[in-house]
Parts: sequence; structure tokens; C-alpha cells
Amino acid sequence: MTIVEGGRKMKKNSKFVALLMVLTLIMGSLAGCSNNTKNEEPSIVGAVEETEALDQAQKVPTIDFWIQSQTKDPIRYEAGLMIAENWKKLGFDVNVETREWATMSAEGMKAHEHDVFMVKWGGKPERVDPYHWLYSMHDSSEAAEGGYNVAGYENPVYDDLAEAFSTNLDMEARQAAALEMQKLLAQDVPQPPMFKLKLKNAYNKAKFENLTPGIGLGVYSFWNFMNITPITEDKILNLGQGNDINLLNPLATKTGQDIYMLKNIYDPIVRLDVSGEVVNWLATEVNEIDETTIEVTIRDDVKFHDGQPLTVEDVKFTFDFAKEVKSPTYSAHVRNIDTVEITGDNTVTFKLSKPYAPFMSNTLSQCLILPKHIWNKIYEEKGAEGALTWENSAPIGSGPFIFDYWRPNEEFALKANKAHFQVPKIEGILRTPYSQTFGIIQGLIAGEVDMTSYNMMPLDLEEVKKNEDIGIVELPDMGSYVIHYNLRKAPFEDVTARRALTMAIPRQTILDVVFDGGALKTFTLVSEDNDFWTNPAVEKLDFNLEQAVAELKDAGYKWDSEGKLYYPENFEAKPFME
Amino acid sequence: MRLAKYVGKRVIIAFFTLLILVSIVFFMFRVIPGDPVSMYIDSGLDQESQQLMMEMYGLDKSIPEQYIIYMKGLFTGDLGNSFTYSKPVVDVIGERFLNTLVLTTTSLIIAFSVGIFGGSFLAWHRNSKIDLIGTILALIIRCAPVFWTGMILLSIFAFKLEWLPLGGMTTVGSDFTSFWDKIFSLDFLRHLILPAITSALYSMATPTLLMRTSMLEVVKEDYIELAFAKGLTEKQIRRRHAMRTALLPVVTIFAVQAGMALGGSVLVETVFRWPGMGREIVLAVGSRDYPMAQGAFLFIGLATITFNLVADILYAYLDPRVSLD
Repeated sequence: MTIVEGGRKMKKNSKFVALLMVLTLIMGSLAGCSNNTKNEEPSIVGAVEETEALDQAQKVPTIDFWIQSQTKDPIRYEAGLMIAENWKKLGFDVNVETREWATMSAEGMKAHEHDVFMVKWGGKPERVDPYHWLYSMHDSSEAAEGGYNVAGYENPVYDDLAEAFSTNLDMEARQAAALEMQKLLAQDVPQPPMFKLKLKNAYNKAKFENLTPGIGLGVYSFWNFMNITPITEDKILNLGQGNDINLLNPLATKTGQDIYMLKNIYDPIVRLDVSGEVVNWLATEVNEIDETTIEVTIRDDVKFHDGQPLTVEDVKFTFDFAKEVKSPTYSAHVRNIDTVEITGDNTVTFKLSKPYAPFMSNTLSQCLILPKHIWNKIYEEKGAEGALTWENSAPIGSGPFIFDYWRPNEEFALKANKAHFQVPKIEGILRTPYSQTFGIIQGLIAGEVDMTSYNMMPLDLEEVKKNEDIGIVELPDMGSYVIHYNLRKAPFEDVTARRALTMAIPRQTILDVVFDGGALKTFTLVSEDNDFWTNPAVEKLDFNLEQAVAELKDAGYKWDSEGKLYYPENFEAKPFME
Repeated sequence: MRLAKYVGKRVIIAFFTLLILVSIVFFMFRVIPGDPVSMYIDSGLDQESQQLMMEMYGLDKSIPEQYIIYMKGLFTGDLGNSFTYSKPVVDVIGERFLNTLVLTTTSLIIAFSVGIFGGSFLAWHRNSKIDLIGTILALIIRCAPVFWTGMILLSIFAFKLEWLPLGGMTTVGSDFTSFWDKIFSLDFLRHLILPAITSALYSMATPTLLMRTSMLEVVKEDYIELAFAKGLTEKQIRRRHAMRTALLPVVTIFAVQAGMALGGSVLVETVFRWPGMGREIVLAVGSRDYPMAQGAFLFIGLATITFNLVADILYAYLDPRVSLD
């Protein structure tokens, strides 16, 4: 009996919840209404042309614009709404849809089934050589499902330039091609970049000095971990990050966070310095014998953390092994390697299947050398698949940091390798995952966090002023917010429509309102801070609705009495400007 | 004998419930858009790497094939390997579950201690202002979302007053020799206070209100009147006679609540950075770590079903008036 009574109480309780829900719904729909009325503002082109009797089949199809939810990324959400608003003014029907990242990436980034969505591409050091931006993201060979050419840009003129850019070893020739490619992209706008951030990282300047941020990674750069110097007796650097690391198997990990920590534990043959230039690391000498033959001489004084020496055997083994077990992480790097031969006591020779210009910056710098005596044993015990799915919970590398311990979702610790040929100034790194940025900020203020690679937003900067010991370092962003059109679909197949849409992105307003001054406009994917490769003279399609309307009109586009956009008669999409 | 038969029947039903649950979860994750690979394309997984990774996870096989492999594994106690950690799911759950258990146990003890005494107190003062305020307060707290309560407590006790830590299970960088060494340390207790109170506040209302109602029933009974007539003190009657009887439904709801608390740990653990099962589920679903998410759901399902079963049996055992048919 009593249970029933209790149940009644519960019901009363759920009524309360229901009431709250109804209230929320009412508020929500009110907000929705006010949005709708705003949308019905007359568009600026309403008066341009009065056309009755337009063929409904000629109406420009509705654009599905995917944006991320506000909690996940307020910037992409707000900016997305403002862009959609302006596209409507041009006469496009826009349907804004909020999506979770896993969904958006599977259907957009991978399957290329999107109309349009936005992504922030990260400016990693290996992207300083703009192979990723210019070749991978725009060559027609990458346009298939899963490829980086998300837009589906297939321009034969561009492809020729891309071929020259990717295979030529002469830097001048590569540079010339890169500049020309950026020019084409800026006028064809298949997936134009919009903004790059003014990155701001925070650290405790009362405890550490000699901060050495590197291009692309900021304070998370390898060189910062090497050079940052403790001032006080506390010589352990406490890192506060958003997420934990996941997996320490260099052959199978997929997240940047894992790789950055692995790069401290393991050594590659060369490293990219703070400005993205290749510098020798395990190598003492790298010789390009011809277009497809590279000879590498390595140091003879390097030992793995278990005391075994690192030799050319390990180097050869690493590359052969990554191919043998089909490592997803190494595959892009080792694909062009035909053979690796030991050609001397400390020399190995790489034979490439075809000339590959970024071999040093993208392959030799990214492939971490594994100890043969450990991985070969795992391979013999567990086979290829076993080696890939091996947890490697206590990684043995040769790098300047030694793995100490990892308590998942709590903390991850590395200690300095005093026997390394370059010894870090700090005694160790302690990395703590905070599930929200709010925790990182409060940790900084409380002195629990010494440094974070989280990009400080204007409000955070206000907040950390509470602690005078917190220093802020500004860094150039080598990546950008990119808006991905899908050229496989109408209306994006037509360059006029793409240009008009691009000119309807209210860049300045978004900068002022959404970024609060924390970003800059950008018109080329190769960052303006990347001096050697960037082309500052590209066409800049900034916000200009009049120009957008004029170009649409010139191409024969029409508007009905409600200001909706229609295709010209006998319309044939023009994919590129030239 | 009747009890044994009843338990047997319930176990069989529970088994099939779990089987259905596992299958639904399995297909659900494969039907919803997204996969564990494509969300890393922008961080540098090219076409071939994506393909190799799908093969590595066994996701290149057809869904029925994957299902058969999964079910085969399940019956041999193998929940598969987590995509994210490359470790057997059972191991990951094992590590996280202890952490969750400590938190939920503490919060349930708080919730039920306060609930039982608070509820009986309210009932004893029925229809008074205290009763009214108490009941309304319990309802309000029960309706406040856990993450909200958590944030409020954090901002008061951690930011403003700086009495308690911001989150986590121990101070960053502290070293412990064993799990037990850790959870009996002062540092750990300081970290436990806020999350335990937050989740206790949430689960407090049910035992409070239930105890109150149950007490109201009991005090009408003749034997309470008799106790008064015997000249016992009010305190004696409340503690020894009324509360004992009234406790019956509260004891059984404890088992049900325990099952629910395990599932409800998701929010508290996220707010307080508690390295438990709840936070793992959020991460696993977000990164489409199918085996991990399936394992976690199976585990929580198992716990809920078991606790419900225990509740039913306990009730039948404690109250002979309840029949098992």
C-alpha cells in the first residue's frame, strides 16, 4: 500500500517536471517565432526585378546548411546563423540544421553528401609545407569518398599545377606553382577560408620562463617542452587540457593529442623547428641523391629508455613494419616508399616509388622510430593485427621524455630523459584532462595548471586577470575556419553562385560580434604568416552584397516578386572562372 | 521453495531482457550516423588510413557478421576491445567502475540517512509549516538538474570560498600505492564531498517523500496508539515503533535507486571530472567507440536489472504480506 502512496508523490513530482518542460517549450517557440519574423524581412534584391510567370523548375534549390550545436562550438553556430541570414537576402532558400560532429564528419567530411558546412582546420607544423592545403584538399585525385577534397573541386588546370607542386624538388618551381594555385582557388572559391584566430595561450610566468611556442601548435610544440625553464623549485610542468590522451600505440592512434605526447617519448629522424623548417634530429645528415633516392645518416649515441641502442636496424624496421602491419597512422607517410636499405654502419637509403616533394617535412618528421627488439616480439606473439591493436601501455622510446605513469581520465606523467642528446629543462610533464574549459581556466587561476594549449577567448582573458602570475602569449594561426561547399550539387556547381554566396558572408560583423576581435579575415588557405608559401595578392571576395547581386545578374540569374532566386534560361553551370 | 522458483523465473526473464538490450544497443550504434574514424579526417587521417582503421576495428565486415562475432564473444565473456584505448572493454569498465561505486555508495548513504530521518521528521510534524516547506524543498531540489546543482556548489565552495577542490579524484600529481590507500586518504575525501553531495541532493527526495508517506500510514495504526497509551516517550515511539515499520518500502526503494544512481552518474562525473563509468559512456558515445559504449550499457543494464530483482526479493522477504505470484 505504502508503495502506491510513494508512487503518487513521484507522479506529483513528475507533474512539476512536465510543467517546467511546457514552460521551456513555450519560451522556445516564442524565440522561434521572433526568428521567423526576422527572416521575412524583404531581401535586398526584392526590388531588383519583378518576374511573374517564372518556371518553378528553374528555382534555385534550397541549401541545407549544417552547423554544430552551440554548446559544442558557439563560434561555428553563431557565425553559421549570420551567414545563412545573408544568403537569404540574396534570394537563396537556406535550411539551417544543427548537427553533432560525429554525424557531420561522417556525412560531410567523409561521404561528401553535404550541401555546405563549416570546419576549423588546424594549422599543424607538418602543414607549413602547404601540401595538405593545396594538393590534398583540392587535387581531383582526392575527390572520392573519404578524400580530403571535400568540395569535389576538379579543375584540370589546377591539377597540372598540383602535379608540378607535389613532385618537383626545386623549391622555386614549387613556390611558383603554389602561388598560382592559391590565385585559382581564391577566384573559384570551392571551399573558401574565412577566418583565422589570433591564438592566445596562457601559462604561469611566475613558475616558468623561456616559453618557446612553435608554429601551428603554440605552447604544445615539442620545442616548448624542451625549452621551457622552471624558475621555482617546482620543476614539473602541469598541463591542463580539455581531453585525455587515448592510446599510446604510435601505429594506431588517430588523435593529435596522443601524437604530440608520443613525439616527446619517441624520436623521428628529423623534426620541424619552431617555424616549420626541417632540422636534423636522429639524423646527422640527409642527402637527396636523386629525385627518388634519399640517404640518411643517423647518430650513434642514442639509446632507448630500456638501455638498448637505437641503430639503423630500428630505422629500417620501423618503416618496413609500418607497411607490413598496415598501420593507419603511418600509411600516408610510408606509401611512397619502395624500399629502405641499410647502406652503412649508420646509413639507410630510402627509395621512393615516385618523386614526393614533402618527403622530409611530412614523412621523415612524422614517422617515430620504434625499437625493433620490442615490436618484433609483439609481432611474433600476436601477429600484424595484434601489433596494431596492442595497447603499448608503457611505451619505450628513445625521446627526451620517459613515460612515467598514466591514470586514464585523471593524469598522465612523463619524466625528463637525462641521458638524451638534448635534455629538457623541466623535470617532467604532468597532463590533466579537464572535461570543460571552465575547469582549465579555474585551474590556471588557482595555480593548479601551469600551461594550456586551449585558445583563450576574450571572456577567459578577463577571468584569468584575477591571477597576476598568468602570462598570455599570442601566436599566429596557421589553420582557418573553412566553409565547405559541395561542387557535386546545385547551386554550388556554378562558380557564379559560389562567388555570390562567398560575398554574402558578413566577415566583419562576424569578427566583431562572434570573435570579439579575436580573429582575422583570411582569403587563402596558406596562412599569411607562412611567408614563403602564401600568396598575399589573391582576389579577396569580402562581404559585398551589391557585387554579389551584380554578378548573379550578369550571369542571367533572376528573382521573383518575393525576391527568390531562379536560374537563367538554358542554364549551364560554369564550374570555374577560366 | 516458492522463493527459489520465483528467483529462477526472474533470472530467466532478466537474461532475455539483457539479450534484447544488447542487441538494440548494438544495432542502434550502427544505425545512427557517424563512425569512429571519419571524425578524425580533419586531424590528418587520409583515405587509405581511414580504410585501414576500419579494417583494424573490424567495421569493414557486414553488420550481421559483426553481430555474430559480437554475440559469440559475449557468450565467452569477451566484450571486445575498446577502439579508443585498444584494451579489453572489461578491463576499462573494471577500472572505472570502482571509482563510480565509491561515489554512488557515498551519495546513497547520505541521501538515505537524510531521507529516512528527514522524512520521518516531516511526517511526525505533518500539516505544519515545517512539513510544507520540507516537502516543497525536497521537490525543488529533486527537479534541479544535477549539472546545475553541481555548478552552483562548485562556484560557491570551490571558486568563491576555495574550501574544496574544483574536481578530479585526487590532487594533481599525488601518488598512491593502491586503490584503498587512495580512497582512505584525506585528499580523496576532500574531492569526494562536492560530487557526493550533488548526487545525494538529487536522490534525496525519493527516500524523504517515501519515508514521510510511509510514516503517515504507520502513525494511524492501533499499535502506535497503544504505545502512547503505555506512556512511552514520543521519541521512543517514533524511533522504535513507527520508523521501523515505515522503513520497509524505503529499504526496497534503495535497491532500485542504487541501479538508477549508476546510470545517473553520467552528469555528476562530467561536471566534477570524476574518472568513472558515467564519464566513460559520454566519451565512448561521442567518439563512437562501439564496443566500449555497448559494454557500458550492458553493465548498467545488468546492474539495474539485478538491483530491481534484489528489491523485489527483499520486499517479499521483509514483508510476509507480499505474495510472490
